Amino acid sequence: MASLRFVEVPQPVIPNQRNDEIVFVLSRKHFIDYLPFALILVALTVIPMGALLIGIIPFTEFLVSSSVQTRDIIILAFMAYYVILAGVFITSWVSFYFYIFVVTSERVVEIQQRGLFNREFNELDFQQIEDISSMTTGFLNTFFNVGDIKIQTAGKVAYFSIERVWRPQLAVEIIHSLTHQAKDGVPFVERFPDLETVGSINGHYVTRESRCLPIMNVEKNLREKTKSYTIVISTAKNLRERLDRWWWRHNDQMVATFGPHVAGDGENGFDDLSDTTSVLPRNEDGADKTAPDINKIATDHPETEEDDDDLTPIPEESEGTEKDKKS
Amino acid sequence: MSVVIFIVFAVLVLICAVLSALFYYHVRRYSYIGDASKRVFLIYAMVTILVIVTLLSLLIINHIL
Repeated sequence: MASLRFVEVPQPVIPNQRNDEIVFVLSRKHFIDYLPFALILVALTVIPMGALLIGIIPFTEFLVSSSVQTRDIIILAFMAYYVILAGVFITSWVSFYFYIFVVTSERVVEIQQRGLFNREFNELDFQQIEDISSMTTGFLNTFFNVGDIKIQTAGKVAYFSIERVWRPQLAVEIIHSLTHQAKDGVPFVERFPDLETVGSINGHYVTRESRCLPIMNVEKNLREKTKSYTIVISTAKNLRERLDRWWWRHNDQMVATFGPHVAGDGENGFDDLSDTTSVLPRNEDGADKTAPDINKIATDHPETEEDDDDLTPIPEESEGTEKDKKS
Repeated sequence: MSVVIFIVFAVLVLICAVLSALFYYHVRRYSYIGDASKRVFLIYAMVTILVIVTLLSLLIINHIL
């Protein structure tokens, strides 16, 4: 099972995400969907360079013997070629990477990015789901466990199709479980997949044992969860994480991870965070070492304004406590 | 002629800058913590700057020598 360091996304994952709406599945398209296009782009970049290198001697002679204007035009042609390649790359990569498939406790959402200026938002209520199936075809799809999901609906659109997502079978099981609960009249705040693996983030499993809330609208929910959940603020281990933190600090976002309560147990697919994390003080009564029932949280801890103060100094405090621990 | 060449080059750089700005806008708006979009943008920006600086240097050298 792959390890997962960042679990929480401290921002609404989808537009109009409700405060108490839990995200169970978040999946972008798998890289193999972009692979053919990436190979073409690499070829278009490498082939002219290779041709230039192979013909380096005649080309150098040509450059030396040619006029200043000819050399200028060659340089401009290179620049124009690069600009076209950059444009093609950006358009295709944005379309590929910002496609998002999300399953929350309330709905199934597909956000399609088509080019730079076309973004489509499709939403499906669990009540409208009639039938659901997943399909994995081809060698690469089977090898990487990637597939399509097809949802038959009772709405205006007959089919809701999601392509090339990670672990489609798990997503189908989660949707199936949530659909049953929705049709049984369970309110969305109480819906939770009746499965061992309750979530999936880009193919990483989130198990029930991990006691990890997959992804939520932390902006508001974190204030409630601080009373009952241990919040793990991990320090950046490498350049990749440092860049993430730098980025989000400049976007006024808090970097937080809902980790397993016993940090670093490493048994449920999470990295060992014990050496690089500081754990914030828990709730006032403090003794609760087990995660509370997720469904209870929303009702037990109504959102209050006083809770805001609990969160603002988190990054600074966490660094301080960590240094203290080490010293 | 040299002025025209440099103006054309500046226009191409401007197009590149607009594309980069669009890329940055999408990454800033739609990326999540831990995803690869910021790193891809960083690599793209570095490669673009490298290409522009190299070609501009060649252009200048071509006119000096």
